[in-house]
Amino acid sequence: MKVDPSTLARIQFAFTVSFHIIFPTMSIGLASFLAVTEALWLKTKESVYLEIYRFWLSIFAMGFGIGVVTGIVLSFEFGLGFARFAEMAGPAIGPMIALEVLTAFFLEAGFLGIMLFGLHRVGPNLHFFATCMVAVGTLLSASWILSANSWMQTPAGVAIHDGHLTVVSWRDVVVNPSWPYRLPHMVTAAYLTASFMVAGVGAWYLLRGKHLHFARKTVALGTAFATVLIAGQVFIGDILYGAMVKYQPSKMQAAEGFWEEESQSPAPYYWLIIPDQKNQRNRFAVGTPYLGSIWLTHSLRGRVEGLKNTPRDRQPRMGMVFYAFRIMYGLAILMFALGVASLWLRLRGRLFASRWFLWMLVLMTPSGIIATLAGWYVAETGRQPWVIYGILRTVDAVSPVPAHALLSTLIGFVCVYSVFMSAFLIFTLRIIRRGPAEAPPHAEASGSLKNAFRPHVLDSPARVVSRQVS
Amino acid sequence: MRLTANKRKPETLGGIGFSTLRRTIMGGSKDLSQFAGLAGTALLGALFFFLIIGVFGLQFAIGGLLVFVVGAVLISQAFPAEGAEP
Amino acid sequence: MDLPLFSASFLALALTLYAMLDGFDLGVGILLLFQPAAASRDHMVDTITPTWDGNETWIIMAGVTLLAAFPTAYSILLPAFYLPVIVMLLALGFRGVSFEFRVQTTRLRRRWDIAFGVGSLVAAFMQGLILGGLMQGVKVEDHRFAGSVLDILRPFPIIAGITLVFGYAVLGGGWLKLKSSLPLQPFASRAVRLSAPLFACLFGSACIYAVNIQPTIHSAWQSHRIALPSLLLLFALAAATLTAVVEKSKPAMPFLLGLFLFLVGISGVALIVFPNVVPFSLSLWDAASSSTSQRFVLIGAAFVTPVVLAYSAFAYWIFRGKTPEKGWGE
Repeated sequence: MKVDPSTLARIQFAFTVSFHIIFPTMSIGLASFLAVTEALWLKTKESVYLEIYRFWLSIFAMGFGIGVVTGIVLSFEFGLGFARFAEMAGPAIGPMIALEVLTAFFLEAGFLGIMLFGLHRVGPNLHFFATCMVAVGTLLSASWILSANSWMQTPAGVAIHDGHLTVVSWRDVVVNPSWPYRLPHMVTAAYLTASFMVAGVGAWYLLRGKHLHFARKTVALGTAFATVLIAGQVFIGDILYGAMVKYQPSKMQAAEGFWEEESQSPAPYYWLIIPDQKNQRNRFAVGTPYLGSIWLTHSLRGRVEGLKNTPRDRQPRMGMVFYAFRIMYGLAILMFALGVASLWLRLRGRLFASRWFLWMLVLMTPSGIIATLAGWYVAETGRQPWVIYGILRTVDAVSPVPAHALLSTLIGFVCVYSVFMSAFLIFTLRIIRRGPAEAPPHAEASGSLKNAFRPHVLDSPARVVSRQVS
Repeated sequence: MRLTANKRKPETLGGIGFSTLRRTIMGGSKDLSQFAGLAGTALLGALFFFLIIGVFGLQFAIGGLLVFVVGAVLISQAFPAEGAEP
Repeated sequence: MDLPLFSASFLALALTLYAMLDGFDLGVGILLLFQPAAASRDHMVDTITPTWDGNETWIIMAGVTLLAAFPTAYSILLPAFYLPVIVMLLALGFRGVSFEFRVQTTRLRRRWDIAFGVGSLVAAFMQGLILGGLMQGVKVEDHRFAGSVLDILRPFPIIAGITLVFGYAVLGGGWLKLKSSLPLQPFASRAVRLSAPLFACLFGSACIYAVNIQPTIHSAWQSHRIALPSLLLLFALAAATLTAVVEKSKPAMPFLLGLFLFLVGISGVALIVFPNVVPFSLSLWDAASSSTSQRFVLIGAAFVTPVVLAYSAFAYWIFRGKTPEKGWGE
């Protein structure tokens, strides 16, 4: 069986980058959440905030570690799988990623040690500064890498000679047309991820009747943040949508499931399609009448542009883009609904009592991660067949590495990453099962991140924490 | 965010307005008010959604977003849900 | 202003810092495999836990500098070392996650320690393999990699791999002498006393072997007929001193001598490889990106690197002195 190296390279990159993005998404959100929590603790001295901090710190630390090591893979994988791309794009994205390492990675790494282990060595204020620096580091990191990826989507500021790129304007490269929209969209996605994770775990405890103070606080915080954030997110999302219609029309054409140059009027909003790319039509399509015109053209009878507007050899695969977009958008609608529901329940004083709502929160715990992944699939599969939109095709970008090497390393990645994910899930579930007060300092386990917080060191009501480890 | 709220008296703002609202919502026949509340909330929520994603234009989107966010913040402050028993 | 030269210097700085800093992290990991007592293993990991992440970041800096300043070289070298780079990344991955995962369990901690140790060992070996592959020369045709991904599986790179493993063990042992408490000192001393001579012998053999398989290296020894032999002599002297004094010297001395060994070795490699960025066919000027890209990186590096070094040093200072036996909780 002969598998095309370019397909294998794409699958490998898709796998490693999808796996990776889960973790920085959590880290960006949780880092800021931890900063807020620590600030609240420092301000109010209420021990529940310390509990919240310690609890989520241990999950944050694990996720951060996996994010780092899977991220290192990516910085080399450009060259490993896509050497042609690296050679061409290096002059533009290389410096951006170099600045990411310099300004963000070192910042996070430098202060993470203090954040995890240094509390009694530096005192609460410097410790809080360390937490903030880690949070700032995650944001800087997101900013640079979004700039690099956005440049791949909407390249600007470069001149092409003979297959070689020269940067003519750094301002245009870094602040490329899509970056100002994609950055807030991604950061908000990360914050939403953390909000729903926090709220979901809190809701779980409420349903079980355990750790009630902790649970109420985190459900309240999580839902409040989530409600404000999702409103911002759908706003930004729509603006970004408009920008992408302008700069990458093929992507948005593929995203909505329409083939004809001009759809019928009024246009439905499709929820389910069976696309037939070969024959440029849908074998089956189900949608809500009128909603397509309303949502996509902001009018009652507007016509939507279909994928046939793009020449066939430049079309992305509709199936992938469409469904990825539906998953992301569908989850956004759900999040918005839950946000509104949370406001309603607050008005009625039943935020913690409504069992159906709490169950929804529990189910939506991973919603941010799934939505973010889906959004990235829209971004990356929608950009195809280009790797640098309009400049370099993905098939022309691969490394001169034989298929068998790619296949064996792909298998290697899947195996190793499965171990990472299993361990992460097992340990996280264990932390959740044990609950906040039990975030145990392993007496024998030195270097334990949970050892970083001993209440008596912090001057708050002494809580003797169990040194038993199961 | 206020963390030590007293359920009886959301004192923060527009005292009369919010207490009236609260009494209206929480008083009255349970089933009818609950259904009306739910339907009303769903409709209002959908309206805000359509507003914010720009169906009525950018100005309304921005306006809708601001109203929603400010409203959410105010509601979260006035009804902190901290004292509620599960 | 010779921008590519500055970029190459920055690249060399990043690689050197990586080898020295993550070198002792990986070294401690390797030594973990030879430490039977669980509590001692905990202590060993404690000595590197607060600062390992920053150390490892220098390899990303090196890789990304290569991408930004010498994209042609990046696009040749990475496919050329496809297999060892990926194995190294997976090994570093295991090492990295083991920090966080091992403290979540007591029953399975030994398994995670093994993962930690094996990950460190394999990563070190792969790095040596790549270094050996570089020294034996990379086959390039028309600015593209023209060899096979299996070129790396030859005797010389394998010897280089083993050499680096021992080299990192020396650094790791030296770090333990500096940071670990009294009970672990004999273990650390033994580690250095065994690894340093082996490191030196393997290094010497590798030098001789290299001269024989790569004509460019042969001529490098002839053109640097004073510098290179002096460096080799210095290396031998330092290794001998290290082996002799490790038991009774000041706490920092074994570690500093280990770092010195690496500096000497790296200087030698640099002298031989310069001015190539893809040994031995592509010079750094041939592989360089345009000056706008070089300038962006260098200006950024010029401003930010001192800040990075400052707060990294601050982090080390926060965790100065002997690592507490009970770990960072007390």
